[in-house]
Amino acid sequence: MQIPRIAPEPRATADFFEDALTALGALCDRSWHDRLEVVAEGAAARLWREEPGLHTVTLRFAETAGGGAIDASSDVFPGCPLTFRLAEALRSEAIPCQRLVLAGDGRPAPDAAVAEKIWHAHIRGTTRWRLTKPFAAAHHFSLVASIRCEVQAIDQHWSLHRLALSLVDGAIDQSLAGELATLDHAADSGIEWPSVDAAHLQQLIQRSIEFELAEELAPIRARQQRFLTRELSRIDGYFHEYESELASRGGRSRAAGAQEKLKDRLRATKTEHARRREDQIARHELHIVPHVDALLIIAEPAWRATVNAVRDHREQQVPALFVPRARRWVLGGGSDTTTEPEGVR
Amino acid sequence: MADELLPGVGVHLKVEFDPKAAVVFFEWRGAGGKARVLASATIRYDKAAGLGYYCLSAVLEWRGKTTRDLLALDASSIRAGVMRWRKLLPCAPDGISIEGRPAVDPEPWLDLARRIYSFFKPLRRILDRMAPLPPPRSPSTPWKLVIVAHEVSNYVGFIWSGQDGALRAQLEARVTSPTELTWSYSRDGQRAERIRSQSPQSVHSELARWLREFPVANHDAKPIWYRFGEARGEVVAHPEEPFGPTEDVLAYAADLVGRFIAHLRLRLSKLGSPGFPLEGLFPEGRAAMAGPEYRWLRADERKRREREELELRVQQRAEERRARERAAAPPKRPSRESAPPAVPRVETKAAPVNHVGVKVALPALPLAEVAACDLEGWLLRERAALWWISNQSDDLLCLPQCRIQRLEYQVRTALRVLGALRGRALLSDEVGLGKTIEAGLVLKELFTRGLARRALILTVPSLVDQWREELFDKFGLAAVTTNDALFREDPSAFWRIPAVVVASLHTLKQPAQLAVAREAAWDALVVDEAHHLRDRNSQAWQAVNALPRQFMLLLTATPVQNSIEELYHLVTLLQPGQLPTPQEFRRRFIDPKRPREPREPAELRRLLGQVMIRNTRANAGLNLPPRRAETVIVDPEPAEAAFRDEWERALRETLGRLSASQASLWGRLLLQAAGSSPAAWRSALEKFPAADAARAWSSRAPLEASWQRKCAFIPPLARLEGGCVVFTQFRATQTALDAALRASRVPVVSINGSTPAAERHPLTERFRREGGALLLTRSGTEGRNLQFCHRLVNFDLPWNPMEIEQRIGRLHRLGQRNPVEIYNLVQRGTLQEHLLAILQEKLNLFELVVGETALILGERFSSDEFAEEILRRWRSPDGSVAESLAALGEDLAASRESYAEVQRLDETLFAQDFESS
Repeated sequence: MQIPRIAPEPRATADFFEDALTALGALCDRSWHDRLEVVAEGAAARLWREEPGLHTVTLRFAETAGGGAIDASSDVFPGCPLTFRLAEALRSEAIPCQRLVLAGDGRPAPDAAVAEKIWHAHIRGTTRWRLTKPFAAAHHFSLVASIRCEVQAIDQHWSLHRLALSLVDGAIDQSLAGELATLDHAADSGIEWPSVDAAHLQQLIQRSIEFELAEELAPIRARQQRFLTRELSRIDGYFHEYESELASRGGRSRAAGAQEKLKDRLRATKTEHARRREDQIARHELHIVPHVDALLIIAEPAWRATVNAVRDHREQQVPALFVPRARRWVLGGGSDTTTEPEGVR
Repeated sequence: MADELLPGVGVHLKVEFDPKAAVVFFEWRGAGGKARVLASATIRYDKAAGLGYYCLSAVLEWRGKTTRDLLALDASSIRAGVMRWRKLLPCAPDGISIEGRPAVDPEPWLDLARRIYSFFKPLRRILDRMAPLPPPRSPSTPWKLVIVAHEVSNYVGFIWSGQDGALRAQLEARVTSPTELTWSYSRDGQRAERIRSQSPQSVHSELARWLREFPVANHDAKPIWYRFGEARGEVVAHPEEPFGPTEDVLAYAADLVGRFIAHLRLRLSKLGSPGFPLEGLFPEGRAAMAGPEYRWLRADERKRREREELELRVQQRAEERRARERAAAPPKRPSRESAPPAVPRVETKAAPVNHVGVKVALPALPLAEVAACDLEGWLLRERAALWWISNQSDDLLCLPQCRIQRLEYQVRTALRVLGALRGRALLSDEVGLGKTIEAGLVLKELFTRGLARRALILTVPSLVDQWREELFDKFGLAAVTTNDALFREDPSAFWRIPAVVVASLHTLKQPAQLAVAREAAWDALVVDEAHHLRDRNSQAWQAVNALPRQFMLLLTATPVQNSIEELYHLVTLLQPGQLPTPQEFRRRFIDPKRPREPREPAELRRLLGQVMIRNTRANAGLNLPPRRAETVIVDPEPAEAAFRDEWERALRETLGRLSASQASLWGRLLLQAAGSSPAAWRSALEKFPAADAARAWSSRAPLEASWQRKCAFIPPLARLEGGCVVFTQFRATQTALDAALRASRVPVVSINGSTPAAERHPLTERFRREGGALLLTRSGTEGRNLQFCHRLVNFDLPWNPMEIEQRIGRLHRLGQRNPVEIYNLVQRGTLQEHLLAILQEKLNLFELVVGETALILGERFSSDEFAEEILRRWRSPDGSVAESLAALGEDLAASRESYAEVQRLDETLFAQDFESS
């Protein structure tokens, strides 16, 4: 889920500064609609200076950078370094991977007929569906990541995405990403949390990020394609003309080694042509660098079942989880009250 | 007692919050559960305090005494109160418990102050509703003030009325030019205007003056904003919240004017981005801009669209024409006379379609598993990331870190290079527009965005150190140069330094250096004075072409000198293939009879537009008023002239007996000092190696008459409005002139190298206010901007034309509104008179723009060489000194003519097609 950028507005900026500085341990007071009095110490004070001790500052929030005199240590405006520093101060070297338990709806296991309909809606091509065992309470684990995506396409584009993935099958869960802030939490009642394998999470995110970015990449890709086509046509035209010139020059020469020389030069030209094309193709490549800022492992109530179904005339027994919140089936999962998801070792 | 012997050890503090009673309780005890109470305290809301608004009462009972402090309900006051108790009754951090839980924060007292503030802050509103307190009233004054922020008419107004409501005074601040504010005021039935600078200091002092005259209590000051309403043309008033007791009305007003300046400067400037500031000012959007007053904005947009469409059509037509030509080209037939050798066929198969690739590179995840769930904290981190990306502005990110004056054309240029031109450009601004600044901006932005980590700047040897200084002073980029010891000690390590490297082009050309330099992958390559690369066969061109580079900037004011083929070579360095093959280029664009005039100028301009930016003074808004130079010749007394001739002959002979370097040094010094003043001349003679001769000259010199005449010229100029600036090379001249002018009752301000830096600005301001004469030496000139004055006197003439240009540049710069009058004082029949004649008539020095002198002289002399050449011609003249210098003048005239020709060619070729807008 892409989170749209915030329009630079002094009040919203001041709200963010107040919350973020308070989280860093500073004392803040909104003395005016566009002013924030800050008394900072420790991590918060390091935004302004390296030495320990208290730092007092009155922040002023402006709508634009403008052309007047700016004090970059106290004026907050779009693009100002202080906002970058504050946002970076809230990050840490290691990415904290937190755990959250979502509360269930307290309803009993779904009716088998309903579960079967949902199965057929999601998983096509199966017949003779039946549960081999009744539903058993379990948990489904998901990964939610907050990712700043840097797209390098000659110039830079940045966007923020909240990516929610099932740890079982790696599928993107848009509803979980969208509803995260509004879902009810529950206490951790002895859930056996899976240990987290960073390499595997990285693989999962890497696999999903291009899909997540597809919509955003479309116009950038089209523009790059246009640029690339133009550049390649320019290069091709140039070498075509050059080769024609060489050929006609060779055609006029009667010297003994002229033809050999001409062939050599044409060969070198072809190599150079290919190199220039490759260079342009590489220059126009889109580079996506995802920067993960925060991770959350979510456990939510689910129903574990083993489903018997026929696919391609072959009967199969598939362990699966039914997630009531999303009303969807997740193939895979463990056999006990907790799942053994794919992304977990 | 433990607390007295060892402060803090064994003392426990318990803090409880009681929301119902709105009290915070503190209790200090000794160690152990049943230890006695050492002290107790409370902080409560105290509306009875009566001393201010939102008062908290902090009561401490300790050692049988009760002390009471009043705290304002703000963070700093509470923190100060709590910290006072921390000092009085220290206790170890692990001895503090808040609400029954041990304090976990590493700074528990600070945490405590924060909690107390958070505890009382919401209470403030509740308690206010229950028993509203009257706001504190600062002492009343007879005035009331309404501050009007008028977004529709674009001004900030201040209206003072008496307590009876009668209007007393009115002040309005309007932005009337990019650098000035017009303050209109009416008071006592009179209306007047004054023009002031837009600097925050000026705004602050202007408002402070008015508020001193009409002071107002905070509760008597009211801000009102006027904005566009929903309906077209409707103006709606939005009264702001009243001023709080701690608010500073002056600061608010100064801030408000500053914000208007920031918006309107962009809006009024046609060069700025027109939509942005208006939208910023009027969030209601473009609907408000449908009115006739925004006709110019709509016209600009229409023109832009039309230009884009035209470019597209031209491009399409050219493509079609080329395709037709290719299709119609007859196959080459073998000649009948000659038996044709077999020609290898050129394959013309369609090029494969290449799709843009996508690479995802997710860095490794350094995970830290955290058991505790803190969704709020998680969401805050995500919010921080959102602000981080939202803060990526469309403007240059690096600007707040640069110490430069923001000039819109320079910012536009940098944005265009980074955007549309994709980091490769030929910057060919006219001289004096700041190509170095533009290149510095591009570099700094590349570094800020993380797009570059290594950069190489190539320039001529004399500018290497200047580049390093400018990069550091203006952009905070530290650079290593080929003048550093490292380069001499270990050249291979030097070229591999992952930073900014400034090198001389001449050094790079050396095969050994080039071999190492080409091994490094340069993210950015900047070539200053790129006209040295106009010849493809030159070593310099070959060397630069061999360097691997991602982004590249070529800087030159004169990309074409002899033939437009030179331009071809520059563009080929930037974008190989942007122009056709050399043969095709010659065939299509160059007329062999007129190599400086392109055959298809429109097509050439189109192709160049994709790699070239050329700002002109006209598009940059830097059309300065003209300069007018006047030579004032002082006639010497006959005895004086005779002595001077005799002295010059003797000096020639004496110099002949000195070593070459000494002769050069003393010859230049004495001749220049003699042209300045008797005091400077005598002062220089004191250290002259031929002491006997010096004493003899000094005792006989009848130089006072012409000195008096020169001095008499200054007072009438100094008494004119705005006064005059007098430049001299010698401190002794400055001191003598200072005394002479004071004797004539002229207000004088003198600044020289010994004037402390802190005093220079106030002295300049005094001259600006009071007028009179400002006497400056070379070192006193540095960093002084004197555009408020338009009269300049060259009391003596440096032998370095660049120095004269720098003197003029102090006054003739951005912000100068009047034609600059330059008076050159020289004595008849002296070397100075002849020198001035050639500088004025042959070089046309006083009418050139800043930077042109260097370009003209650069062809023949470095600055020191020019002075040396003058001395050489004076010492051994071919005929008279005047004739000898006249020959030098002819050389200068030829250089100038050649420069003028190049300039004309550039103007013809490039016209207005490559501006950054």
